[in-house]
Amino acid sequence: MSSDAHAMTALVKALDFIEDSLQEAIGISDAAKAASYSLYHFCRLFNRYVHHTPYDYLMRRRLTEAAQELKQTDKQIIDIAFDYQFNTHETFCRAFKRFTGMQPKEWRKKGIEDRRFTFSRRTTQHLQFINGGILAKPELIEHRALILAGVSSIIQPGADTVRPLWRLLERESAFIKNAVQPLSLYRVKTYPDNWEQDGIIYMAAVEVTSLDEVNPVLTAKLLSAGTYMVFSIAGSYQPAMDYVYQTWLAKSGRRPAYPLEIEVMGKDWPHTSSEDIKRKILIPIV
Amino acid sequence: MRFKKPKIVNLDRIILAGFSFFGDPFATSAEWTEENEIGRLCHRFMEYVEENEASAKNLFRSHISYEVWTWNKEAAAKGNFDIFVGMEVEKVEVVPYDLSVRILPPCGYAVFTLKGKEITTDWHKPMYEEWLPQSGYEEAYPYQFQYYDQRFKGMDQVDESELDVYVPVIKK
Repeated sequence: MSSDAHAMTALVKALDFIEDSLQEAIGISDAAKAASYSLYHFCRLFNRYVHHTPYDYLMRRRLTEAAQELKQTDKQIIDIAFDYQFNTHETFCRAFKRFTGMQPKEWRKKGIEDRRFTFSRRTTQHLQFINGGILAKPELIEHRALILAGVSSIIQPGADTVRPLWRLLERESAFIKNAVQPLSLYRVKTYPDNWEQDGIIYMAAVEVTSLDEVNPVLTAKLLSAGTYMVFSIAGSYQPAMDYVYQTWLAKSGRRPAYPLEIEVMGKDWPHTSSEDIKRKILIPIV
Repeated sequence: MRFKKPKIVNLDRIILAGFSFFGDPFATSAEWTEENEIGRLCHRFMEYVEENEASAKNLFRSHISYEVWTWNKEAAAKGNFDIFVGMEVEKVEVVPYDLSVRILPPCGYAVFTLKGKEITTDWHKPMYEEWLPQSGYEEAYPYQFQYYDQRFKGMDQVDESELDVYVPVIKK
């Protein structure tokens, strides 16, 4: 087993231990023990492979679960705070505000549970992504406006119904006279407020030079020029997006200008059977 | 033919902003109800317009909604249709990120007015298979749209409703 694989296996044991102990009075040294590392070595490796300190990770997981309980149960706020090992109402409120931008009471009333921003449990896939899937680190760039033409639909989360969109785009792409060359494929996802119930707006598209001659059977989208976060990845999408929103953006203090993700891929993408292909991701940023 | 002869009109380019659905719209319900994907798409669009009332007022030219059906190659092979529901806007540049755009080219149209129960019959067949071949026109583009203005009262009042169907045509 390589040293990377060995470290990841040990860290996953610690992540599992933390997950089972979110409501227990544990310290970081207990998690280090679960990984069979010294506290010193554990902290160093955890940072390197998870990109959070162990304590920050524990806090984010506790606050995520607490946020969920606030929405889904009518338990008293103070009871939720104690359950997740916050000693006082005040420390819980302060940490919660820092994490969600809202007081617990306000969150219960107005908060929208959005999987993109709460902090999901890290798994082997996440660790593998962080340590090999990031081809170019996130950076902020000024990007030109994009004029896209393609096929769009509302897709329920997790539904495997996007293949026909790409098939149609491929069939129609011969009739897109003004596509920008070399041809890249664009996957655009827009997240309405209630996307976890009602679905996201998905678009399979190519970039075109103008909308003057757009084929009337295609849907178009105009995305304005502005600041975008850009980064390149390989491997599965979900760990990548968890990392972008929950680690990189959360730490940078930036937030999306509007809820939309753009993925740019080579033109052969629909024919590859695995998600293991290089692609660039753009997110509009304030 | 069961309904009145269409009138022929020429329209400028139409820019629509709204939402698309692509797939089999009748997978959940084949009835003319609001329960299938088309009904859901319309409902979702109307909800968007209500939720964004202030910006929608400036964005859309009127409250008339369009339902555009596209006959793409996936439709014939697999029954996957592309349906776009939206309203007219002045220009593409003003459309916000969360709406899609459909641009219909300047074109001649045969306009069929459907009344009451006609709306729920198979009107597509007589339009394309009976009227079109003997009309001196041919299909200009592989789409058609339904034009929902104040004469359309809703599927629950279909008897009192009228609906215009626009078929893009060009002289043979």
